[in-house]
Amino acid sequence: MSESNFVEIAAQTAMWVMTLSLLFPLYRLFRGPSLPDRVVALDQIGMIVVGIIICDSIFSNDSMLLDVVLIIAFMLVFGSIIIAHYLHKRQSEL
Amino acid sequence: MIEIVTGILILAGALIVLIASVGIVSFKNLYARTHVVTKVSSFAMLLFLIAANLHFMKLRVLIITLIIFHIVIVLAPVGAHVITKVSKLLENSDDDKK
Repeated sequence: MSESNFVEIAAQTAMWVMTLSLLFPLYRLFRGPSLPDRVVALDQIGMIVVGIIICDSIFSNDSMLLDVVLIIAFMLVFGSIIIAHYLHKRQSEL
Repeated sequence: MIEIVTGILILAGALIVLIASVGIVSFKNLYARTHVVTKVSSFAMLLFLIAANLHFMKLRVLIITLIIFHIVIVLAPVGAHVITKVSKLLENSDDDKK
């Protein structure tokens, strides 16, 4: 087993592990008792997707995919902040 | 040698993401789950970004990964803090109605 082959195998294994671990936050997304629980589960799903794309950029040797990661991380954070803002607004209107 | 370090960092990050995902199902309340998402996943992202830097060894990758690192480390806990604060407010208003 050559050394550069090891990085490819490791990235592929990591992508498989993270794809399987997407199931746990999906369970919490459907069964979550309250709305903030689902927002936290969505946050975790976004983190896992960021990890998958970083592993894909290492696997396919394409550093341009890291730009995609930058945009996804940005949208993830501001999405959860905006959902919290609207939850707070709805709660104070009641 | 550097390839082996990169591969071990990737595998460790994937394992930590798996542990965090199990934690989001097994923890009992919202605050423990927020702890999992912000701390454990941020640590896994840090390992992935170090692995990407070791693999590419370019200045452009270093700058982009620094920006991603700051978003994940500084802004994601702010979002989790806002979510937990709103959830506390919702719980308090439910108690008032009862």
